[in-house]
Amino acid sequence: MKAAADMAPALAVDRSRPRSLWSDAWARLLKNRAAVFGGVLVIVLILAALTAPLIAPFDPIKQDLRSSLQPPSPTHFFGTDVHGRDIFSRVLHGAAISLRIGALGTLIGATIGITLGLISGFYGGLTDTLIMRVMDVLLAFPGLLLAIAIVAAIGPGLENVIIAVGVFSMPEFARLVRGSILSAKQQEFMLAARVVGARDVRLMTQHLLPNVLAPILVLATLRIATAILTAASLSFLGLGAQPPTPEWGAMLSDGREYLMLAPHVATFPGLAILVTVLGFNLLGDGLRDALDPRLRV
Amino acid sequence: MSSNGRRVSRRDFLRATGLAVGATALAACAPAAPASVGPAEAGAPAAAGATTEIVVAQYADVVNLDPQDTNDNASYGPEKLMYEGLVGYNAAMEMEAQLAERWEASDDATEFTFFLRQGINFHDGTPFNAEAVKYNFERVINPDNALKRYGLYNIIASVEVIDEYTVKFTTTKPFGAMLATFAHPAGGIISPTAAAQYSDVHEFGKNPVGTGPFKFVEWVPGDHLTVEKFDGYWNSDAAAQVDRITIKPVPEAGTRIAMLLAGDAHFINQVPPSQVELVVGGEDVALAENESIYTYWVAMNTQIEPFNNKQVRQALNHAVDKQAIIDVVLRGYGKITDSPIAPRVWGYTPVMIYEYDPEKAKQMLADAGYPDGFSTTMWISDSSEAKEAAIAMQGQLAEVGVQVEVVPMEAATLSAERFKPAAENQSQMNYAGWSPSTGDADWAIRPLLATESIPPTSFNLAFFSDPDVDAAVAEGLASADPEVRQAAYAQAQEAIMDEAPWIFLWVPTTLGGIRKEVGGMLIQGDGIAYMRTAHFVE
Amino acid sequence: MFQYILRRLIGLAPTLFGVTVLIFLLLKVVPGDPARMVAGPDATLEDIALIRAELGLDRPLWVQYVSWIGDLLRGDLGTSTRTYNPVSYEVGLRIPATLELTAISIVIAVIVGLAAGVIAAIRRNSWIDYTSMVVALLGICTPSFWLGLMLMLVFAVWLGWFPTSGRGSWEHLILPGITLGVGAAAIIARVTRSSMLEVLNQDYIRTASAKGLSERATILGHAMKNALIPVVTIIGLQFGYLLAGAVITESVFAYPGMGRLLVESIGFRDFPVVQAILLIFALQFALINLAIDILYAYLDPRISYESRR
Repeated sequence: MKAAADMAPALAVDRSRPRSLWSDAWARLLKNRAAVFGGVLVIVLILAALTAPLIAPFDPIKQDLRSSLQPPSPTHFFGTDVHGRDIFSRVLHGAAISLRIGALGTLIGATIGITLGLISGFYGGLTDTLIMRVMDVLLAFPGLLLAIAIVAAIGPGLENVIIAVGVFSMPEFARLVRGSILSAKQQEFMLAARVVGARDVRLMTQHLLPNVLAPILVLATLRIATAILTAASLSFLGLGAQPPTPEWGAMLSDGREYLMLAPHVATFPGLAILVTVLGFNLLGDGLRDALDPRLRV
Repeated sequence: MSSNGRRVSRRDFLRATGLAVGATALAACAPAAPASVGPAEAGAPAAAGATTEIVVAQYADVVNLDPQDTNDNASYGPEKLMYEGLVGYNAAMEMEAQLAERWEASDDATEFTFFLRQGINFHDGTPFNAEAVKYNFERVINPDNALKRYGLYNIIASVEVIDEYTVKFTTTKPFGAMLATFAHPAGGIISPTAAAQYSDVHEFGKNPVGTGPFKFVEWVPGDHLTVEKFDGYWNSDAAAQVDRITIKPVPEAGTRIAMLLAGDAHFINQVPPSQVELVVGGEDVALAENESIYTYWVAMNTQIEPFNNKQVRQALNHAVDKQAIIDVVLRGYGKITDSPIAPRVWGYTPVMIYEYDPEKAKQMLADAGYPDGFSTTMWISDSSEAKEAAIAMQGQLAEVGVQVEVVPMEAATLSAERFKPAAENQSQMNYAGWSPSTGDADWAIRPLLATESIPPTSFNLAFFSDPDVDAAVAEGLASADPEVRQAAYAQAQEAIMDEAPWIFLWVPTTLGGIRKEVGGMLIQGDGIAYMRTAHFVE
Repeated sequence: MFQYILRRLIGLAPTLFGVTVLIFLLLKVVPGDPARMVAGPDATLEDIALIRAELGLDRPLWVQYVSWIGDLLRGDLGTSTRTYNPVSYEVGLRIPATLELTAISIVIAVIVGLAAGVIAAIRRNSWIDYTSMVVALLGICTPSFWLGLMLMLVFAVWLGWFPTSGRGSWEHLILPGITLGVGAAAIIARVTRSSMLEVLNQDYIRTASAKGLSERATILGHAMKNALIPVVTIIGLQFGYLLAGAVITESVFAYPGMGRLLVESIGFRDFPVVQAILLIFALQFALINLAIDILYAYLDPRISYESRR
């Protein structure tokens, strides 16, 4: 096994071979066709989000009650919703908000969760107990109640829904990281590093974290979907994007009433979420492989 | 139930899955022979002693089975199988005699005398008589019992037994709506012996005993409630026609419809308009529709700018295309209201409709000093239907320059915000609906538009305070004479329509779903399921 | 280890105590007046005052808390403000229902998830791998209201193989069990695949593969145990989530589980029921996580739970 010092990718500037680490990883990523495809999907989505106002054929909030619930057609590629709004345009416009909620919400949850998990697993003992018991309580607390409390405490804004989504996903990351750390910190390279006298933070970020990166990436890419779907239920409680703002999760929920009579209302926002998760997931897998220390022989 | 054919005709299934799976693909692979299940197979009418059972799926679970301790329609429906009032409403919301044969009211509406039917027994064998009636109403107006319907009946000052079958009520003040209050579902008469045996007054709500055609069997919260035919029922003309009725809570509308199509339920309580096409015109199922006594409206806070300006309020009434919203959101199952109260409410008078005319609305807003419109917020509940209606209005109001922020809130939060005292209440616009459970104009107007009902007291979300309306409401209560009352309420309705504290919207149709092998069930105008005439048809 | 378990079990007491305080305070912060909810929308102020007193909500906060804790210690969970049923009865009705449903869905999730994950890892970058990934992602992106209703329409309404909804025989469990299990299976599959790949990529495994089959199997077995740690974590979490009830699936299948009771009780501000359920959930998660920690030590005997210092 390679010495651990040069396997810390994104998080630390490795003094020995900074350039080669990145270029190596980059080269491997580009060779991975699935990852490139995933990357392209993500880029397309981001472009759609940025250019929605220019490319959307219709105003996403303009209603036409007379053309309510029309099936997909050459005029309305994805059909219309109950208010006669063009679903294609709404999906395009919704990309910006939904990507933000999915990505940022997950990022916040992952960052805090990973940090807590690292600390908990690394130090063990009372620290571990305290952090993990708090996570237990968070896990047990229903999202509905937390959401009501958040609306009451800090109001209904879009930033708050991102925070809420982050809080919901935090315990899962914390537990996942902690579990893996417990095992990883017993491995030889850690003992070696400790003997050399590496400091705690360095041990954690440069030696332990890379070893637990794989499950984190998997969980994070999947969590994006959960985040977008969670945001939908929160919008019903008045938290997050409010009508008539298009947002995929809320659009999907709106389609719930019409699953049987006008399935396109739920299908297209659902597919948009799927494509997003697929893109991030392929990219995540590729990244994991590219950064896997053991593949860098 | 499990003996019932669970299969469903091909056409019904296609209707159900329809585009979801791709109708053509299914039609190609479905068996050619129609797989229709005849009604006879799905629960034949009592063939030689077999028990007949009706299964009902309703949107929510029962909360309580003590009428005096109930305030939700999901509980009142089953209660109406087990209880009867002195008077009550039939399926068409017309008042009828039930346990009382006839009644008299003093002209000043303070004394009400009921002459009771004789020879009636409760399910537990207790005889029904004036003492039982006295026990009932003294129970509900006893504050120590903390029953939910205390406030409805505490207008009663005393109950007097004149003889075994005559009972006289005296009210604390004139109360012209008293008869309707007795007809309220909370006026169902409970067995005094059954109620008296519990030290905890709330225990009775789990062990209900009344005089109705069905008696209680069991209630497993979250799962089902079962009642069975009461053999000793007094009125052979209205006796139960099936052996058992089981009511299951099924919160998801799509599931209720699937149960109906599959034959797992004979009657479903509430089909949302958005899914009504799945039930209409089915081979085995039909829609049970009925005109409701609900009115829907958007209350505008008349005490703050810009809604303190009558012209603004009228302008907004012209700005909303009610018919378009009824057609789309309610799928046509409703009609524009021409009064603050619904036609089937006693005391209704048709007044007028604010025609949809956005140009006129703009002009009126300009005249009122808002040529560029204004911004406001509309509070709604977190239901899909409310959201759809509110978004449609949001779009229409934007056309005349009024920018509305739609704020959905979870029910208890919304209630807390709405009932805040006037000084701290942030209400601007509120979308809501109301049905007077007494079926009387008083309960349709007073809690919503009288000065005395401004939050936190009651539901006057328009913070509307109009001396003419207050006077008319008082006049309606001061007399027991129907003509006097009718005239007073007509006056009130006209004044309200003109002052426009609300955007007046619509009166919806209640929608239930029923299998064709059964009959006799619908949803009453007040939203309560009517199931006592449930039966199998040949 | 035994000592550790004992310590953790004893440690449950302060944890749960903390939970009670937290629950109680949070519920008081949440807007909404329980007395108003009980009294109903057309209640008078007098009604509300009477009910507030009846429910004991007119007492100071600390008195309410102390009386709740006192009852709790005597084994009395209180009375539902919605139905006036004892909380223990309301909750007791739902616990077996939730256990049954959880059991079947976790079994589905673990079997399908592990199998799909292992096969995808072994046949990496093959069509099997990609298919299993797309199916897994579909499983995560498909809202349970959609999947549940579609399963119901096809297998209950059309084919008539299963009942549409409700609780009763084992047949009632299949469709909701699948609906719930799919999401968990998807996550388990993805994490298993990734963990398997970690193992397969270890230098010594690759070396071992050169040294003959039996030795490779031994090493693989050893390495597998290690790699299972994230998988076990995820399974434990999913198990916890399932036990905590799945409100949408329960609603779709009209299944009388804990999730629905909790959401309805929150909506009604039926705090005695909410408090009891949250306490049970907290206990469940604590016990599951204890079990997971014990499993860790079994999977990797070097793990110790002592403090570093």
